[in-house]
Amino acid sequence: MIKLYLLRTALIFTVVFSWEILAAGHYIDPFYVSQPSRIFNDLIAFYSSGDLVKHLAITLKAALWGLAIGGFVGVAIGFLLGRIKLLADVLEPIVTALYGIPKLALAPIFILWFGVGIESKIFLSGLLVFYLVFFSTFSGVRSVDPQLIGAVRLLGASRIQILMKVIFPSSVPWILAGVRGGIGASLIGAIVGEYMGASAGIGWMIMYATSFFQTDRVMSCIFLLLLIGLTLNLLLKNAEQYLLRWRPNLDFSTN
Amino acid sequence: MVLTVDNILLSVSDLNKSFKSSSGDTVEALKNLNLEIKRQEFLAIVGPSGCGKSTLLNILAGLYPPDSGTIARDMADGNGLRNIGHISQADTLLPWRTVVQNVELGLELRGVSKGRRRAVVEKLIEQVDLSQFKNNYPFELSGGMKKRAIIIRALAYDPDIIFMDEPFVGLDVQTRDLLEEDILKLWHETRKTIVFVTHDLAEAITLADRVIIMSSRPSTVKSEHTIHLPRPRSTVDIKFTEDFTETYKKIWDDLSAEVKKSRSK
Ligand SMILES: Nc1ncnc2c1ncn2[C@@H]1O[C@H](COP(=O)(O)OP(=O)(O)OP(=O)(O)O)[C@@H](O)[C@H]1O
Ligand SMILES: [Mg+2]
Repeated sequence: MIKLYLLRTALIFTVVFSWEILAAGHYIDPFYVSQPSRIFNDLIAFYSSGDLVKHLAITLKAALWGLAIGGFVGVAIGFLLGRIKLLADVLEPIVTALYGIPKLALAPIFILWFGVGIESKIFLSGLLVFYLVFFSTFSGVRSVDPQLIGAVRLLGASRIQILMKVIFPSSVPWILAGVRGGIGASLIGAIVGEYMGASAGIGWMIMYATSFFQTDRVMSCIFLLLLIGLTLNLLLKNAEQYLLRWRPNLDFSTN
Repeated sequence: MVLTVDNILLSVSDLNKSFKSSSGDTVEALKNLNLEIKRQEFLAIVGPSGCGKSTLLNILAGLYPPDSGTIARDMADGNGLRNIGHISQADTLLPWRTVVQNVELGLELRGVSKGRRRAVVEKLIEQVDLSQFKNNYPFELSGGMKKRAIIIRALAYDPDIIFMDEPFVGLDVQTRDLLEEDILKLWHETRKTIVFVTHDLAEAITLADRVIIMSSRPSTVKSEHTIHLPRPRSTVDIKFTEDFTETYKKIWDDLSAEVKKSRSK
């Protein structure tokens, strides 16, 4: 495991170091791709002006609200459609058809509906998250082992007890899988929403800096997004490890 | 219908059940089946594979209704189904619950407080020697341990009757002997009515007061044999007694005829 960490660190270090050297020697043009040292300096300036925290907070707020609302609605609708056959028969084809629409392409109309404020970003981000969590929850609810339901019913469970004690816990891994995808989607929704029309936020900052050819600032923003994604995924991974401790650990791939 | 005849816990008359198979034709599983189950008895049901043993048990436990026929029960909650324990052929422990949490589920569903259900459950867990694993999840248990947990899960809420559908299938002989020992011990201590389905005749004779042979499909009760072997029985030693071999031979003739019939279909 330590060996893996060392290898990984070495790889990252090599890439960053070569980037620095190549850019310093003008083998690659820092005007287009910036340079690690310049990104570092920019991050410091970005932070000390107070702008970094301000813009990051706006984007994070939109993404997290999108994740929370989209996730909650996705789980709720997923359960309703998963359990009520009539509802699923009527609605599932419609939901699936709507899923085919590229939602990011709809961003301009959401700006029209909800304005350039944070609401339109939350909506876009929530919509992306909703679909991922909904489909995953729906499949989870549908794939509960009927033998478990039968056994618990024979132990004396009511319908609501079966829902709470069998169907819900058995769907948790599926819900978490949806949320894992949802983290990335919520960030995409917030950023793209900011591209389309905003006066602040990391997405707005990327647009703004690009129009002034400030590649250093663009790269700083991308670095920040990378950090946010990593942090959120790490949090989720810890939550998963706790919530799914009842599953045999069959992950032989890494770590 | 509630029974009034003394000492009969459950009585089944003219039970019919058929299934529509996915290929479209009808499979008659049970046909005009009659059966009486006495209070506190250990009843074993033996029959060829696919004859409808699980179907019968599922209907008796209330998992689904028969097509026709009556089932009369004389239980604490009348005709209710909360006094029934059912152990199916499958592994039905909830994987996200520890052994303790699984075993106490029946009590939890009945609203028993945590303190009281833990007291009951811990004792049962000790009786089947699972204390060391009580806080483990099912994936960490061996097949035999899982079976033991499933069995005491059905005992924990004190049902009047427990249906066991080939609970030991897929286990090695040694584990099986030990579990049979466990079952008999628990039965002596609790005096529950047990209906035990198996296709192992020796197992049926070892455990039961009465063995019922089911015919091949469409299935009815073909014959019934009272087992006169003395109790308490040692599940291993008893198999070497003359009485056992004699009983076995007698019932085997009956059973093998049915097995052959179901094979030739
Ligand atoms: N849900 C079902 N749908 C369709 N057919 C079924 C269903 N359940 C059982 N059957 C059929 O009914 C017959 C009896 O099945 P059952 O499971 O009761 O047999 P069994 O005696 O328990 O067999 P085994 O000893 O192999 O467990 C079989 O022919 C089976 O195919
Ligand atoms: Mg069966």
